[in-house]
Amino acid sequence: MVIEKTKLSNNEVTFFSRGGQGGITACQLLAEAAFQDGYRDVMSVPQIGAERRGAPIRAFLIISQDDIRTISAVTNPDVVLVFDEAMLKLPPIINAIPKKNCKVIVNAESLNGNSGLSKNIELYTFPGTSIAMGLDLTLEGLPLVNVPILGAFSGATNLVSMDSIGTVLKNKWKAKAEKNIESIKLAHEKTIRVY
Amino acid sequence: MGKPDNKTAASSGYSSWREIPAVPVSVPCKGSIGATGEWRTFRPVLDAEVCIKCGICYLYCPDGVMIYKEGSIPEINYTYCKGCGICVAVCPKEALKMVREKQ
Amino acid sequence: MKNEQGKEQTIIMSGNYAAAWGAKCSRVNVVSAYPITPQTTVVEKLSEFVDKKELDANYIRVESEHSVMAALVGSSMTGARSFSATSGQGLLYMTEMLHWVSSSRLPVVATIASRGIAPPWNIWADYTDILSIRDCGWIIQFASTHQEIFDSILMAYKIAENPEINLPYFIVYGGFIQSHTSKPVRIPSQKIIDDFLPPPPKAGWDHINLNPDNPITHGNLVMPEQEYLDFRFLIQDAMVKSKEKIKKTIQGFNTEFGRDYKGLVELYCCEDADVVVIAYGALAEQNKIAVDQLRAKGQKVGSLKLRYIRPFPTDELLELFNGVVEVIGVVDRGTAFGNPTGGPISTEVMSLLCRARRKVKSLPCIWGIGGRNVTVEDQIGLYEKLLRIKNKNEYPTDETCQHGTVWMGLKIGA
Repeated sequence: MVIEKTKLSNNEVTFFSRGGQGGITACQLLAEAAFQDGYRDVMSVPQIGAERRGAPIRAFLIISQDDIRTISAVTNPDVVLVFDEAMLKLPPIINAIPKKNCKVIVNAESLNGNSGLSKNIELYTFPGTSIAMGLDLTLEGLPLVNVPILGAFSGATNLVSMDSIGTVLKNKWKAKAEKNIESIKLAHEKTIRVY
Repeated sequence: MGKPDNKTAASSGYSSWREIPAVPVSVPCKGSIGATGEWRTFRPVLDAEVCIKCGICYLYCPDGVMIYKEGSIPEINYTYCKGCGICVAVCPKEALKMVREKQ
Repeated sequence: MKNEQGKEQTIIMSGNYAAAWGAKCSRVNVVSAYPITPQTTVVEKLSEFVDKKELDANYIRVESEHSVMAALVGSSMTGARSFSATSGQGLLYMTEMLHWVSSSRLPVVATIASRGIAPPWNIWADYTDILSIRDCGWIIQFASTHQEIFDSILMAYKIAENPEINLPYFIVYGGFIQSHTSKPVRIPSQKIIDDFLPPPPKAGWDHINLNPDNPITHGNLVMPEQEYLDFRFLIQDAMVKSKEKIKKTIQGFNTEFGRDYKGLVELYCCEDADVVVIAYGALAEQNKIAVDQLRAKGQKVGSLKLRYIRPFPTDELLELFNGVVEVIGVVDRGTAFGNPTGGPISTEVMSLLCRARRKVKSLPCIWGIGGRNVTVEDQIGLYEKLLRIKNKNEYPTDETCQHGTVWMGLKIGA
């Protein structure tokens, strides 16, 4: 798989998840995969505080062909990942998503036109919850979409290769990585562009 | 920086900061601050008849001048006893009392 | 992942893990630390290293930060290479023992993931914790990248254990923005680290050595006419003399490990700059991007990063002031209530202006405290303020400028 070399030196990604959904782990895994792909510098920034299970949480990823010198939160992301569509109803989240020049990837079976997102972005969806449930990727009964979302990211942006994501998953979970790798493949296939 | 030297605190007598070690360290020596018995105006005197050999004076003495073994009558090392009177205060039998030093 | 002998590896890790790896690769003998957000994962990683026998060290569990430093006073006095890490309130709680370490001239190294001081509770980047204990006799270095956190620990032991220095050493980085952010860190082979940083002398330090076979008393009463004052002079003398040792150690490290660390300060585009922003920590690193963008528009601006504040880079700053600079902005990510500027470092920097041979205008700023986000655009905004001072002699007059200091981001309504 050939990685699209963007003109931008920094590719900035914002993750919106809930405490416990694994957004911060996803951000970290994607940083490792991007580094494997040969990006010169990567940075994953979890914006966490006191542990907040269920609360909306942001994480930021920057991958770059140059040295990354910024050390601030991402305010104008090129890509936004939303861990469940219900989060789009939260004003702080919908307001933080750019109105143009941005790819937005949402975990949703389908999204209707009333999502509240601008029409001047590229909108993608993938059925992360049903993929996780189907493969029994759950923790305390809750589906883990933080790994499938990596496949959707790769499918929608072509910024990080599926091979590298697979390698990182294998390094992290060793023999238990199989189901996770299956889930990124499924998510990659089932990611669709809404508009 | 110099190694710790064996100079006692009372006789440190350095004339320049260049000579002093990095930190003050004392090595054990008897009466490092001198013969403190000279400070005494009253001396504790023990009445061996009354003493029950309990050793409480030995435990409380801040200067370690009570020479005592379990079951023995303490002896006082007057070279270093500075006459603070703590032994007199703690003795349960009033076997110790402070006596004015002769001029 | 094990650090294999003889092979460099690059691992994506958080700033806290970089600190834990730095301690591990320095082969510390004793670790004592008490967990506190945002430092906690340093302690977790180190206890894991010790548990898995990847680090041959004694991990001393204690009930508070005060006891942490007390434990390390003891361990370091035996000649053991000793390490700790803390943050915010924890650092303040160990303050008394910090003086015990420095005045006993013990080469303990500790990393600080700086955070705001409560109340109200705050766990994000703010250097008020370290700056409020800046005068306790420890060398204080800011690390503004992950690699620098790791590398600095190796250099710190080399500097601290030098028999002519014998001073403890803090390495400071911002809570969360650095402690929990992950970036690639190059871990050199253990062999070249061992060559650069050999183990401490088996017989213990020359100047103080706790050993039951050779008992000593340390720290007992010193009368006013004795050498208390002189011992204090020796600490200041060692601080000043450490400047040369620091520079030499950095040079040696750069050669050995292929890095490019500067000395006590790092100058960026300052040679011909009319306007220079002086800052420390990650904000100073990010400030370079603002400089690049303004330089592209033809503005002669520069950035000076204070890598050390103890010892203070007096000569380096005077050299800047005696050059061509016309206006300086001094950024404090921390507070010092009631001092001349309200910021600890801006007060110190500006105290040197009266020693300069030329007149340099200045603007102190308080910025990003409590983890408030600071973007490159914000930093360009500061240069624009400074350029107005230079071009039109116009100082900020809006409500963010209070008592002669700009409180960047102070909420003043529409």
